[in-house]
Amino acid sequence: MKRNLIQTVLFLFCFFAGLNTSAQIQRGKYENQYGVQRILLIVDASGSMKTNWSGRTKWDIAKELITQTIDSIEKVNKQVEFAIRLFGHQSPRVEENCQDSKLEVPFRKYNNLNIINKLNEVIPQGHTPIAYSIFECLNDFPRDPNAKNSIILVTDGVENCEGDVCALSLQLEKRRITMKPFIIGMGLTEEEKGAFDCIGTYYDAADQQGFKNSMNAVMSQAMHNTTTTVNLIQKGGKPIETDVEMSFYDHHSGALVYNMMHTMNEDQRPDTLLLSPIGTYDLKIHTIPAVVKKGIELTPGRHNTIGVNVHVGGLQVNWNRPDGKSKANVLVRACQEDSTLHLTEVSRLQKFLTGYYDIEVLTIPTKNFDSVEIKQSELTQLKLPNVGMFRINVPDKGYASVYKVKKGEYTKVYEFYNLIDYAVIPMLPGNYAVVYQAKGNYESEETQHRRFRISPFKPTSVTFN
Amino acid sequence: MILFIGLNLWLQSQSSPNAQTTRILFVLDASSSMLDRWEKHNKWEVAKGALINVLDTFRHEYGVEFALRVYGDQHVAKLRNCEDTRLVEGFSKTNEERIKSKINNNIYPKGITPIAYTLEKCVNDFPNDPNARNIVILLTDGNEVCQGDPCAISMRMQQKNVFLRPFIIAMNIPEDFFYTLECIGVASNVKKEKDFTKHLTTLVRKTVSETTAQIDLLDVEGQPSETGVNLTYFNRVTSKVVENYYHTMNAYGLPDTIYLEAMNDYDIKVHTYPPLKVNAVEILAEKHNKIPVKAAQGELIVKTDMDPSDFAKAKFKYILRGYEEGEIIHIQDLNVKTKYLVGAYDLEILTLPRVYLDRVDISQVKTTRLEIPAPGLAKISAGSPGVGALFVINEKGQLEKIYDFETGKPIRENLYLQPGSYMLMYRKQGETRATNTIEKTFTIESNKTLNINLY
Repeated sequence: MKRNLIQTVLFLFCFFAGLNTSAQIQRGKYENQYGVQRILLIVDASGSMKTNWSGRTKWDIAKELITQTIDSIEKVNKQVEFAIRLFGHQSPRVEENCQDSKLEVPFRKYNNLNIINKLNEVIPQGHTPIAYSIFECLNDFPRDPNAKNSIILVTDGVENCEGDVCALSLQLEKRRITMKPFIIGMGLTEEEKGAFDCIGTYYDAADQQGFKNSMNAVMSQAMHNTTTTVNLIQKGGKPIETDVEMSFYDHHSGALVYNMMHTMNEDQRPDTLLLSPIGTYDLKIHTIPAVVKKGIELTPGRHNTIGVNVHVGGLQVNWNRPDGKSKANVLVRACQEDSTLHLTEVSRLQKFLTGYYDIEVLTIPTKNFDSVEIKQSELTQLKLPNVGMFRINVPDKGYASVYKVKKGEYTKVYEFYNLIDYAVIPMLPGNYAVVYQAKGNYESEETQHRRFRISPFKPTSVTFN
Repeated sequence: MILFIGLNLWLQSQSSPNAQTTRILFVLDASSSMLDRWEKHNKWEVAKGALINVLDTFRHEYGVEFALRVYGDQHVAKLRNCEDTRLVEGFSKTNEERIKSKINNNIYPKGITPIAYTLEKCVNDFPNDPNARNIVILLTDGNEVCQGDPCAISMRMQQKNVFLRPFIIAMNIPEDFFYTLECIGVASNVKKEKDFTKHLTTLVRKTVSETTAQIDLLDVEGQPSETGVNLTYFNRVTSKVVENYYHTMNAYGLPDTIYLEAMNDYDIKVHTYPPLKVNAVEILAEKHNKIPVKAAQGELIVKTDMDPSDFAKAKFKYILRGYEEGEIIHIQDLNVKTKYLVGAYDLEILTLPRVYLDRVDISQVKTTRLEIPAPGLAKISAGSPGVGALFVINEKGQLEKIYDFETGKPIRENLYLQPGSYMLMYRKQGETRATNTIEKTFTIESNKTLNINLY
């Protein structure tokens, strides 16, 4: 009864897609501490486990070390739960049962006795459907977004059904259901060891002592938190930049996983974060423009440091004499670029990545500051002359427009619409001309034209007759 | 984006209907070389004859006055007197006979050719009359021999409105000298003796006759139906602004007739969005000239359906750029109907977050009406100072920062936001754990207010 296991796996995917399995990373509030730690042991009970290893069967050695380890952990850690899934234990090898995999002891606290009893009942005999077992086990974890879940696979051989662990791993990761199992291999050849590279972290056990060492290493990684600090490195190399928002996205799906403000701890060092070591992240630092670091992988159970160059400085456009009420939008563009990078306001302090920017203040007329340099940790301040109010008085409804006069060039800076009686607009200081023509006039030469000058804070008015 | 229309027209000659005086100052070369033979006669006799003919022809012309200045008649050439120039007869209404008499009896060519110094001295020859048209006609058989730069002096005099662009009539001088006169003004080199009188007479007629113009702002069908836009007329030589006229239709619904100063070349700027520029316009003298400018326009209004008091506070603007072009053509408020040249434009609306409307077609036929969703109001407050920012959640579920809160003071912000999903991140100042970041996701709906407290 050989079946194409990949097909089965794909079918199951469709079934599980809507289930939101517990292993799936959920977007949720970033927690300081995980809740329950759940460790699932997937143990090989295929026929080959009956072979001898320094006088005892591999099965007996595995059984003994697993239960001892669980016992020692359960004694000191109340937050941990274990479960056992076995494969190859239900059907003899001749039956070639590639779905011989079962969760024998589900998760609960203080589970060691159940596990011992179950393992004692079992006789290794069948096939090695590893891919199938890993996929199936996703359902073994209860729904619990705060849990820290781990898988430890103990095996003495490689897949001998048609499952492809690498293909499985990729598909799981794309859906962010990867668990990155720890694999403890009992006496595998070099070639066989390589077969696990794409799915998890492999630990080699050549003998009983090796198995014990591997088990301890794996457990300690599964038990210990993966810690991370993000170093935002200023120009000059010091990791002292902070107070900027960060988002961690899943590299494959693009889904948002964590958000937080980069923070310094009591020692003025980047705060330590507890991020799930599962999967690959893209980190977006929300500077303007944003800085993105892609493909970040964390080493489970260890401290990880992510370094990102974040060189920022401040920009502030100010009125010469701040009056507390004059407002104007400020457009910021990367130097020589046409598209708007950011929209801010006069007198607001805004941080930007270091570099050159073109600034355009939306006063009347607009005021441009080209190639403004933002330097590391410095505040670049631009001074804007204070506006004066321009008032136009007209006898009749008509057309009127205002021009900036510079070296004989006439540039329209404002057009009045639906002008009746009068209008008042704030304008930057300078020399201007205003042109007015009453609606219904039949002669161009009835157009009236006046020069005027705007000074800071002073009202200027032009009356047409 | 300024569109240049290479019409290469030359706006010329007119006189205003309002009794404007045209004052023509003849500047006559009386250097010793004027006594050289041209064809049958010497140059002095040819020039004298032409001048007397002009005075006789135009002596009854209404609103025209003449004066005469000479150079080179006081000192002999070998003295090289570079200040040898004098006003022989000043402007007045009835001086033609006196000028004729003085040419015939009082002037004897003998000196050199100080053109620059002479042009400079013209300042005081013209009476102080801002409405007059002051014209200089220089008759010469040679080029500058002193240190002066006649071109620079001429430009300065034009800029100071002493006189309009001068005319220079050269008496068959070699081409390699003639070019030095061309930059002074409108220069011509008469080769044949018999053509000289005709040439001078035609020139004077042009300066005193009436020429009119109208600007046809053409719509997409080529009809002159566009109007209501200001046009700035520049003197092409001095770059000075001569007039600003709103384009106006007369009582018959046609572009009205305008009078532009004759002696100048013009550049015309049509203040549409984007502006159009028509350079070097040529107008035929003594005719009504139509200057066509393709200026088809259409109306655009970008609306949002907000409560008027909210709208006044939000002060939304949009940026208009040419389609797939970067340069800003205009920044305008929402809800204001505005005319643009027909064509395709890209719009960026300065809401939070900014809204982009690409490839908006503005046509002449109908007003292009665009509407963006009305924003909602987010009232965000936090009692203690902190750091934080507002993000929009895009369709991929990713965050884009749109607004930073000011650090160092309690947050109290009223933000008009486009309908959609947002996230706030905020952390109190002095906190030492990133996990104490407060994260709030919220949805904004049009014209609704949402209170968000960060505690």
